[in-house]
Parts: sequence; structure tokens; C-alpha cells
Amino acid sequence: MIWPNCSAVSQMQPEYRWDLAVTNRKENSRKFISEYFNDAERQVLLIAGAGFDPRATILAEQLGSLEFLQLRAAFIKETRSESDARLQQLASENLATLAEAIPNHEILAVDIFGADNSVTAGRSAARALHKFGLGDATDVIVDISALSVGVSFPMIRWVLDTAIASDNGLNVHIFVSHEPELDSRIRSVPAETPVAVHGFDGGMSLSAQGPKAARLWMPQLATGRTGALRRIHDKVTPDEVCVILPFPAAQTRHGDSLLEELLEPDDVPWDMDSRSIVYADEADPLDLYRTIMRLHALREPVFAETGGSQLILSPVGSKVMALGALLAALELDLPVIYLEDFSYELLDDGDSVGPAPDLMHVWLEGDPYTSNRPSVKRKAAL
Amino acid sequence: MANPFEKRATEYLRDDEAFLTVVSPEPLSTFFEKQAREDKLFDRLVMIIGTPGSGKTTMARLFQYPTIRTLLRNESLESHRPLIASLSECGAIADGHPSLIGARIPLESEYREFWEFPYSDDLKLGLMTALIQARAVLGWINDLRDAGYEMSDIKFVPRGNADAASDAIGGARTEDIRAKAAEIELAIYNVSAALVPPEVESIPSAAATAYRPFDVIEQITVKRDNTVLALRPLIILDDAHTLHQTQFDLMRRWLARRELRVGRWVITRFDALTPRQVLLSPGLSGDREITYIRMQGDSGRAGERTAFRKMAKDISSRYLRRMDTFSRRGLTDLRSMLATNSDPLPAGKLEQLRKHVDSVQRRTGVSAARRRELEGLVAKYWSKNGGNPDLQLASLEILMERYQRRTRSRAGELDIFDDGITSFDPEPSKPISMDAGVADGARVHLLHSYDRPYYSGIDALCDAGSENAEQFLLLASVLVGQLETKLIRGRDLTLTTKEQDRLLRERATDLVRDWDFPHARKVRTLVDGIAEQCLRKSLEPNAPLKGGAIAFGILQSEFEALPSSHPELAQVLQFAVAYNAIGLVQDYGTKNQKWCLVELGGALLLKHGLTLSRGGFLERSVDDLAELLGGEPDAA
Repeated sequence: MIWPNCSAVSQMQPEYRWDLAVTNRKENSRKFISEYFNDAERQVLLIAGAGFDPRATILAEQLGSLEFLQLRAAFIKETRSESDARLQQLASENLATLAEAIPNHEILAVDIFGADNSVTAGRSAARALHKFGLGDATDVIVDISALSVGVSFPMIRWVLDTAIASDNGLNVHIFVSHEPELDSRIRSVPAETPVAVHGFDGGMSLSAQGPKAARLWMPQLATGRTGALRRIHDKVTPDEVCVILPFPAAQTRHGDSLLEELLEPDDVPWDMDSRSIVYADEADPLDLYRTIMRLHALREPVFAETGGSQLILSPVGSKVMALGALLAALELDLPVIYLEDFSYELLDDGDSVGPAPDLMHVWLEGDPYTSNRPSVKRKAAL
Repeated sequence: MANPFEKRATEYLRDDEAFLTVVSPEPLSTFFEKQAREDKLFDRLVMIIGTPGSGKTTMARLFQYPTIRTLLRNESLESHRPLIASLSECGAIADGHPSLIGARIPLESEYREFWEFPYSDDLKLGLMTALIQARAVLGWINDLRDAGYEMSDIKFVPRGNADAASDAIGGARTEDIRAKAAEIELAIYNVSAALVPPEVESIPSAAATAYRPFDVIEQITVKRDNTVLALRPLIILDDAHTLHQTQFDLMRRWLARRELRVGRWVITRFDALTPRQVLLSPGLSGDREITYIRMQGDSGRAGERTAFRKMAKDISSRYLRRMDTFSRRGLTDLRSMLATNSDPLPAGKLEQLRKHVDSVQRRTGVSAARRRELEGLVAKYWSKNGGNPDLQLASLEILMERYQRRTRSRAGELDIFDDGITSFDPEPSKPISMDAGVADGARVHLLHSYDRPYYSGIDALCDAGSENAEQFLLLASVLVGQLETKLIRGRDLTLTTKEQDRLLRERATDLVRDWDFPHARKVRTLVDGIAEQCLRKSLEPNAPLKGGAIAFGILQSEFEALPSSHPELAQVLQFAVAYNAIGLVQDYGTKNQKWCLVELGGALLLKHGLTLSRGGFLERSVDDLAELLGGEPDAA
């Protein structure tokens, strides 16, 4: 899409807030970056992860090479108590590259865990960003390529809430470098206890809601995450489960492999049949987003008289699909339950980045959109 | 249900009726009845402590109002009577009615997050305790409404002259009390759910106002058909280990106040207490304002093992009743399907063993007469304990090795040039005896040298569970699965000792391999290292530690310094304890000293082929433990 005629987009009445969101992929993303951002009038703030992920530097280097852009950055350094020396080295190298690409930057340290191993990621991230502020930015970019869910989701929510509240036309963009093969090589040791991503409780913990809502849990399957999903299931105690599989996907049978891994060696602790699977395009976040929105709309009237319906998301897999879940969670104030990563391991020493990752862009807020889109729901009044 | 043993069925059975058919009442009598008889369950703070899978939440669920109601609604069912009897003993049921109303509040991460707010400890504690109390009130009212009571049937009875305090919690009418609790909950939720907490001045007044229903409420009464039932309110705070240490201590202090009239239970895991206190738990027990219930403890271990066996057998029967394959055939006693008598070694191996024992005799210098004497001891023991020739030979080998060690000094006294010596058959420095310890040692030796099955029978299965219900079920599941297959194929209705031994050891190896928690890799390295050294000792030919070693023993005083001397090791041990990889037995008195035993869990004993008998340990130091992890610089 690159960069739509804003008046054309603004005349459309979307069913969901981001139903007609401006998105770009691959070459279009690169073209968008070089055309849209290379503008002396723009003051861009980039929020990106400074971790070991080889994709951490891709967007920053592109932005940093633009001639006319006024650019500053907040590089998020996720700190975990258990850290592999090799990955620390990779993270240091990435940080050096980022610093060189964008000299005007600040490093924001985010403690993922407290001293007692409690999850503090989201709260630390939101606090750090709140303190840092958006300054005079006309455009805020959040690059989630090297950010964990526990950090990126609250940050995006904070930026979005700030943009909506300020109503000053702030543009909010999300970028992610998509490479499923690399995703499967990054293995994590999960923390013990599933928690709600900070800012994404969705009212689950409120007792005063009357009859309990019918819970549909929608976990995104991913390689090596079966144990984590079982633990999340134990916490969520859903009435129904609908797993999300990637299809179409770069590897056509990836969804089948994920199902095989889930179902073996032990049975899943929930009833599973072919009707409890949702397929979503691995490379298009809006596909999953629209599916979740549709499911929500279908369920609401059915359960209205008996306590309502509650969708609960667990985006443990690819970042692009996680983005789709994020959009739905932002719009409907849905709970997002996950297991924070205690530590990481990068399997194989192969090429750090294979064929150029697919750079995905979603334009969340700003110029292309009018104010009469569906609003985001919030349970918390603050 | 495919195989309910695969995962604790209680965690999947959201329906109370289904839950009540599988839960065993044994832990109630083991852990709760004594405290109930001494009236220590509902008038003070009760701390229930245990490792994951020890059954804490399951037991607490029995005291929740909806569970008790369901139980009493089906009181005519035979299977429910033991539960009703136990709960009556515990004071939860009286005259066929609930006598308390228990509501459970899981202290999830949301509560821990209060400690991250930029406020004073007092304010943070106040927000948290107000939220807990609001949710308690809402929980009690919701449960009573679900039971069919109208708001007008429910009355909160304040203690003494507490009218003014009643106003502070909403007033006299239950509708108003509920509305107040909901208002408080939402106000505090808005603070905790905010991405960035508000400035102190901006905290909504509803959240910041003092709200203390626990100080006010004495009783809750419910009326139906002109009958009034008085219920003691009970709040069960689960998963308290998620709280920050300071937060936990302050909450405990708050709940320990005797002015509070509601019953309050706190359920926590060992690792709630930070690395230092995980490892130093006995110090807590001295507080008389608090009742401590340790569902896996470090005292009265023999009694605990016996009690656990009873509970595990009961659980297995209940689970088998849920499996059609077994219940249709009336097969609900797992013990009867697990053989305990091993076949003797095949002739070839037996002959090999005989020759080996003969060579031991020659090496140890045991005379023919001495051997006959030792054989007599062995035969006498095994005639009462059903031993095969292989066990007798292995026992004899151990006794001969012991004889040699106990006559070594005499051999040294001999004048080898003395022509008058025609035979050497001294008395040992200490009498040689044949007992259960030697028998166990013989079994372990035969396991490793001749693949003779060791782990068989229901008692071994129970003991391998390390007094942890979840671990027991995970191990039992593989045996039940195999039995089910045999039943379906119309085969023998028992598992041989060989089958049990193989399945259990494979299962244990898989369980350890699949550990997936923080520091799991380091825990594996640590416990495998301990196990290897224990195995080396266990296989010494004279079986010096009877069945063998299963623990490192570290001087208690040295162990107490561990959290500060070796903080990384302390963290690893914390998780190892929390996930049953090891158990800690503190202040273990032997050899005129106090030791802390770092004892391997049942899955590791199975994996490495170690004895299930307790007591054998290797004297080690904290540095020895640290070395297993690749060494850790002294924190000092």
C-alpha cells in the first residue's frame, strides 16, 4: 500500500478500528520508509529493542541512513538475571550498531524480573517510557522485532493511549522484521507463573462482574511452547479453547507440525477437534486481528444473557501474528496471558539473518485516519 | 477421561461433583484434624506450606462453600461419607450443614505488583489489604447468591458494638455492603491496572479510604424457610509465594492479629520465603499466633511416609474408578495389579553370581566355616522375607566384604613368618548381622550388576512420589497406562516387577529431562552430580550405608550461611526444592552433630537406580555443592 491518499482512507467507515489500517510489506515497507520518513518536517522517535536478536538493527539502520529525517531513539535494553554470555555479546554488538545508526539516542534499561523473580517487565517498560516521554515527535515508531511481548505490548498501549488522549495527530507506526525460521531458532525457558501482560488484564481479575463470562482462550501455537501453553491453560481455566495456527505460512506444513507437537506425547488438557482451530495468515497481522474481532462479535449476543463472553489471548508465537492479537486486545481491552521468558537460547550458529527478513509495517494512528473510527474500549478509568 | 493419572484430575475438574469423586480425604486427617481438635484452624492465621503438587489447593478447595454444599447435597453417596466425616472433624460441617463459608482468593501477580508502586509501604499494604477484603466480601456474597439465597436472606453480623464500622463497609444491608465492596475493588483495580500508577494525590478517594471488613464481620447468617444458619467466614489466600518478601511479611503480620474475626488461611510454597528462608524454615514454627500446616515437612518423616502411602492408595482407587476399563471389571485396587515377587535371575546369570561370590570369598579370606556361618545368617533372614537365591548370594557377598573390613586390623597383627599359624579366622571387631539394610543393599547391587528389578509394588511407587501427590500420579500414570493396554488385549492383569521397574525408570528419566522451569538446567546438573556420587557409594561392595546414599549431608551451621556465602547456589536450590528435585531435611542429628540433608527427590532416585530408603548420606560441604555447578566465587 505504501502511503495512501489520506482523504480516500478517511472516507471509509471501517467496521473495526484497524480493519482498513495502512500496512506495508517487504519492498513496499522499504519504499515507505525512504519516502515517507525522509522528510525534514518530521520528527521521529524510534522505540526499539537492543537485544541479541539479529533483526534488532534492520529498521534503525534504514532510518539512520535517511538524509533529511530528524530522528532520535529510545533503545530498550531488556535485563534478565539469567543471561547467556554469547547472547550478551550479540546484544552488545547490536547496541553498538544501533548507536552508530542513530547517534541521538538514549538507552532505557528495563528489568524483566524483580529480585524475587516476579515479572516486572511491563510495568518497568511503561514507567521508563513515561519518564522518557514522546517530546515533540510527529511520528512514533515502535519496532517490536527485538522486543518481547511483555515489553512491547505495554509500550505500544502507552503510546496509543497518549496519542488518542493528546488528539494532536500523532502518527504511530509499528514495524516488525518477520522471519519465521529465525523465530523457531530462538528458544526460551519460561518463567514459572503465567501472568497478564501489564495493561492487558481486561478485567479478568474483577470479582464484581456478576455471572462469570464464557471464556474462550485463543493460544497461538509455536515450536517448543507446549509446556508453557499447558501452564497458561491451567491458569486461564477456559470454557473453550481455539488454537491459532499459521496458514498460509512460509513452510506450508508448519501448522501441522505445531499440532503434532501439541498433541504428543500426552493428550491436551482440553477437548480438541477440527472446529477448535483458527487459521491466520502468518505474514498478515490484520488477518488474525479481523478473525478475533469477528469471533468476538459473534459470541457477544450469544452469551449476553448469561454473563457475557470473554476472549483471552496468548500470543506466544510469531511476532507478526502477535501483532494481530495485540490490535484486537487494544481495541476490545482483551486479556493477554503469557509466560515471560526467563532466559533465551539461540540454536545453531548458522547465518544470523538469512534472506532479508520481511519488514512489516502497520500504521496505527495518525494522518490516514479520521476520528470516527470505532474507539478503543477501556475498563480502567485512569 | 483418557488417563486421569496423566495430570492431576482435580485441576481439570471444575465441576465440584466430579472433583469430589476423586479427591481423597486422607490429607484432611493427616494435616487438618489435629489442628481442628485443638481449635486452631479458624480463630487465627493458618499458614499451609508445601511444594507444588503436594495438594494444598486441593485441600483448600474442600473448605470452599460451593464444594461443601455440593458434598452435602449428595451426602447419601457412599463415596462422599468419608469426606463428610473428615470435614465434620475439621469443623467445616455441623449437623449436616456447612458451618463456615470459605472463599478462595488466588494472590496472583496483580497483588505482587502493588509492591512496584512508587508509594509508601503503608499505602501499598493498605491498597492490597483493602482489595483482598473487598474481594472476600464479594466472594462470600457471590457464593451465597449462587446457592440460591436472595440478598435479603443474607446478613453480615458485626462484632460487638461495631455499628460505626459497619457504616464504613457499606452499612447493614447486604446490597449496600456488596456495592461498597464493588466500588472499592474497581477503584483499586483502576490504580493497579493503570499502565503508569497515578501520583499519590491522584489516587481515587475510594481506593485510599480505610476499608476493613475483616475487623468488623463476626459472622454471616443466611435464612431459608424460617431457618437461620450461622456461618463463620473464612478467607483462603492461595499462592502467597508470589508476593514480595516484605509484602508477605507485612500481610502475615496483618492477618496474624487476633482481633480479626474471620478465619484466614494463607497457602504458600516453600520458595515463597526467599532463598534464605526456604532453606531455614524451622525458625517460623515458633510463632504461636499462627498455625503452621506443612504438607511436606521435615519432622516425623516415617509417619509422613506412612500417611502418604495411605493417601496415595486412596487416590489411585478413586482415579481407577473413573476409568471404564478398570471400573467395569471392578479393578480399583492398584496394589493387587503390581507384582512384588521378582523371578529369580536366569540360570546363566545366577551361575555368574555364584562364581563371583566364590571369588569374593577367596579375596576376602573368609574361611569355609565362616562362610557357612554367614550363610546361616542370610538363610535365616530370607526364609522369613521370601528371598530368592540371587538375593541370598548378594547378601552373602556384602557380609563377607564387611567381615574383611572388620578383621583388617587383626590381619595386620599377624606375624607372617610365624610357622605356627595354620588357619586365620578371627572374630570381627563388630558382629556381622543380616538385616533389612543389607537386604536393601543386595537389591541395589543386583539392580546395577544384573538388571534385577528393584522398583516394584505399590509401596515403592508411593515412596518414589516423595510425599507429593502430583509426582505420585505422574509416575503411576505410566503403570496404569500399561495395565490398561494389557486389559484391553485380554492379557495378564498384573505388571511384573520387570515391567514396573523399566516403566518407572523410563518415566522418571523423561520427567527429569522435561523439567521446564527457571534454572532447570543448573538444577539438573546439580542433582545429577549428587546422584552420581551417591551411586558410587551405594555400589561399594560392603554396602556401608545399607541400601545406599541418597543425599549430601552438610553441617547445619555451614548450610545456614549458604544464602550469603553462595547466592547463586541458593537460587538454584530454591527452585530445586520448589520442584521436588530435592528435599531439605534440616537439623538432622547424627554422629553427634546437626546436618542439613540435601536429599534427592523420587524421580532422581528412580532415574539413577538409588535406594528408596532414607537416611544414607555423604558428608559434604557447601563448596562441594557449588563445585557441581562449575564452582561459584565466594560471595565474600
